[in-house]
Amino acid sequence: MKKFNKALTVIPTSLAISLASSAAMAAYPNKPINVIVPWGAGGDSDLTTRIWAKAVEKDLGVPVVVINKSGGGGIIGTSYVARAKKDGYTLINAGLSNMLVTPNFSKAPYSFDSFTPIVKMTSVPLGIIVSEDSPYNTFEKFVANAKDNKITLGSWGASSSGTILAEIIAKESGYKPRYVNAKSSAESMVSLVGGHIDSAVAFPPAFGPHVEAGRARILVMNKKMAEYPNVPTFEDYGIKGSFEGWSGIFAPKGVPQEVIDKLTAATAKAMKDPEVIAQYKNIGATMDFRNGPEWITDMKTTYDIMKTAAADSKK
Amino acid sequence: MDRRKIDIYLSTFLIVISAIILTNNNLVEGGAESNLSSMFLPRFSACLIIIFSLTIAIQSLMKLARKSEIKQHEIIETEGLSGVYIYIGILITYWISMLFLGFLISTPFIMIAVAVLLGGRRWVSIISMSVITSLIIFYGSKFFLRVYLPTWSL
Amino acid sequence: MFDNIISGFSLVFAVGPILGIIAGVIVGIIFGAIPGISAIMAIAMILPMTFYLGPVVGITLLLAVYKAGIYGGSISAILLNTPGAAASFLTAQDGHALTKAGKAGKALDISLFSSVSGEMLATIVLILIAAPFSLISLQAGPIEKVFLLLFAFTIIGTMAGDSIPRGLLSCCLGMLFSMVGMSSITGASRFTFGYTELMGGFTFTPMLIGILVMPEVFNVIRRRKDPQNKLTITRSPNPEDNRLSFKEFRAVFKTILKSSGIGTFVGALPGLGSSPAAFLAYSEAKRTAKKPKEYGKGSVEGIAAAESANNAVCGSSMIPMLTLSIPGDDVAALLMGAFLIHGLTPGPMIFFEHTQTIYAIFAGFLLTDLFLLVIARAGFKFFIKIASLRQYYIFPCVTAFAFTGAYTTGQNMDDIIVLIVFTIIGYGMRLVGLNPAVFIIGFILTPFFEQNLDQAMSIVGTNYWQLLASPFSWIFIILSILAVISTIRIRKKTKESPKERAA
Repeated sequence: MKKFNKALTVIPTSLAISLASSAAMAAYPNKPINVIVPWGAGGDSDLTTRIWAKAVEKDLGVPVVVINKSGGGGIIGTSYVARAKKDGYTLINAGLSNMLVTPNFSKAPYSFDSFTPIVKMTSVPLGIIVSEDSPYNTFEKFVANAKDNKITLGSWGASSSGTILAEIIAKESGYKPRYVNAKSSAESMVSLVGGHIDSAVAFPPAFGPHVEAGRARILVMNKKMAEYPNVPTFEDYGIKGSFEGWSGIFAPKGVPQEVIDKLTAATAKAMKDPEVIAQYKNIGATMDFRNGPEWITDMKTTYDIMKTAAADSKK
Repeated sequence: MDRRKIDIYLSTFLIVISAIILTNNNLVEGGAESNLSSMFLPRFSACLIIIFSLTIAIQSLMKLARKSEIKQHEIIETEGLSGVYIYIGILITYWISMLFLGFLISTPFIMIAVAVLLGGRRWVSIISMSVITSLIIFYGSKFFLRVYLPTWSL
Repeated sequence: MFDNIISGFSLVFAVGPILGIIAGVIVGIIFGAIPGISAIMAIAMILPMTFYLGPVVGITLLLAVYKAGIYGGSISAILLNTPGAAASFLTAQDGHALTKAGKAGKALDISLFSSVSGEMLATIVLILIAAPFSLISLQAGPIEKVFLLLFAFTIIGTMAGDSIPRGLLSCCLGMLFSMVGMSSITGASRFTFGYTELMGGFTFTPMLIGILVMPEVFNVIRRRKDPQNKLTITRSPNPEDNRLSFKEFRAVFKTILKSSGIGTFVGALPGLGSSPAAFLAYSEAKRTAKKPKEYGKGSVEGIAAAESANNAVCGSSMIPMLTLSIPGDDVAALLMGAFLIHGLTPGPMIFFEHTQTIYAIFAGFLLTDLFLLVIARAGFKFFIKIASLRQYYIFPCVTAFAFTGAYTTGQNMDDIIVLIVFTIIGYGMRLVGLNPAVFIIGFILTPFFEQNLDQAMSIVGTNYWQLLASPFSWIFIILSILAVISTIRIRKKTKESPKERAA
């Protein structure tokens, strides 16, 4: 019982301290900010957000709490934030799939327009990968052989960002693969290395270890990366478009400008922290800090492209 | 209660549900095309459910028809079920009160109610246990797990 | 290799890692042992804190929470009959039967010893043969996994439940419930009836708590007027009943070895997880047991089989995560995140690029097992004391913890409705002789099955015979048939003596 009493006196005092410290802050933020990650804990988006949350916490002076509301391909968490209060205390980890792809495929109660984009944190270029001993060791050979459903191409879900991007590329270059939809791109890379499928689309965090271990080869990717200087890009083959996955922070539409400014400033500061830079590098993401109207217009364009592509591939 | 009769009701219910899954096309909405249709596995498991439900129902029917002696594991005891209904009521009350009163206020009352249902009559210790546990959970999850349990919202 | 291990140990024997392990083990046991709260919550919250610790301290700390958490679940399963995972359901059956007979100490002992042995063996496999092992699991593509899963479904469905049709029906119901929500393959919403809330399907944790933990509260309530049941546990006066003799341990050691092997194998194949492992090991032990009738009614061997397989998965699920960078379950996904943050990219190169760190972490795993053994053993008296409180102290707390646990996973009030609904369903299933743990396993494995079946169909294209081209397919088909035959034979044997059954 004595221990309990002690614990009880400790709790209110620490509570009082935390209340006092937050009351001293300016108008926003003055209480914990929740960032919803619409995916399970431990994935790429989750880690990206957790690093961001930890980094901006110092500058904002309040806890930035990451909450995983996963399920329904990101719809559960995203629609929760779309309905949340527009006070800037509920934010969402946004990415290609939950913002630009899923609303076009599934019956989601939100669209891209339900949100105010705040910042983009990271991006990763899409690549087409084959195993090291594959006969299709260049993109030309791959395209020539991939006609008439002959080659299997691994991706993650028929309505996923991976498949829809792969489908756009396939249409542009005039081939037609047979899609093999694994649970995640990590799993589809394993099927590739194990010889169960012929090729796969993936992002660097998934294919990086296999390429470095000499078991997989990148045929083509969206952007030149310092790690893979000799890999051609889609642009080299005349395929236009942005084939990248990205991760950013959005708020429900209608948050005050003050919130956007404060979060943008805190992110800008955090993105210069060498420790944060190292952490992003470790998880295989490329920092790609963007904000403002130009970025939003770019996304809107991509959204429309996805809409057309989704309409094409729907039943 | 005779479990064999329950078996028959339950199996009939499951077979009806499975039949609806097999025939109704409005249970699935949207989606892209893949190698398996979205309804393949649900319909497959509906078929299996029909098979197994039928097996169970036929076994029970035959036993009932033969008027064979009821075995011990085929009797469902109903003694004390009234307490269970009260407990379910407590759970639903807990959910509603948590929505409006928050965790910290509703939990002690619910805990006391469950304790009383279980026959506890030592008021002082039950009340203090309820209050202390609620406080520990509330502040513990706030500070250690960073989970903010629902608070007063009226 | 051995000097790597030794240098690894020298890195771990420092104040930081050891404090981390001790803290992790204590946190894990507490979170694991509270009915309704699971250790994964603790891991997710500790993860960001470990960003600023060194990799050895950070990762061993997380892993200690994981291992101790998986083990901790068996404590409440044995003492209170509130299993926190489908894997502990088996432990609860046998363990709680022992507890009711006043042999709680013995049940706790065997569960701890077999958990630690299972973990240790799997960790040793991880250290010695992780790389070749991962090559085997590379061979298991979608087609092979389809057959493996069919095998798992058959064996689990047939062995559990009052009768074979009832077991299989439980499994199929689990399958059906798992398909509510958005399909991860096609993005179509199934059985949502227009509710967005249902798009994510039934949230797993609240459902699990409802199906497995809460029905015991119902049982207690029904027995509340029975004067003999005022206390949750009683203690046998005979000291022999409250500990495990060396002879008993030696008698079950073969079962532990075999079950750990099964657990290690299942864990190395990503996606199956600990519950199927425990069921497979349990059924194998039961099949070869001298007294299969004791299983489910207080069999020390049964606890040993379930717990060692369950915990072996902890160690071996690291194999695909480290060598192929595919996490087998949600905890492995979190741990992989921790590796990445610290700049240790999982993959075959990890053993060459970060030799010292990796072996230090491995040494930490082994050390965790030792600390788990000592700390948990020291806590037994305390756990038994808590569990010996009167029921009207314990079960109000269980109710509050279950609600908290259901809420914290997604911080969503709807999840509490899921909890209440599945509590009723879970109790109803027990009444009509369906098996709730098999229901859960059907629920876990079905999405995985659908995903692999879809991929397999795409890989074979129009050449359907290719489905049977792999030797793996045949092995699993034959194993499934054998399993069904042997289950039928065991059931016949049990039926021959109906008197014993009634007693």
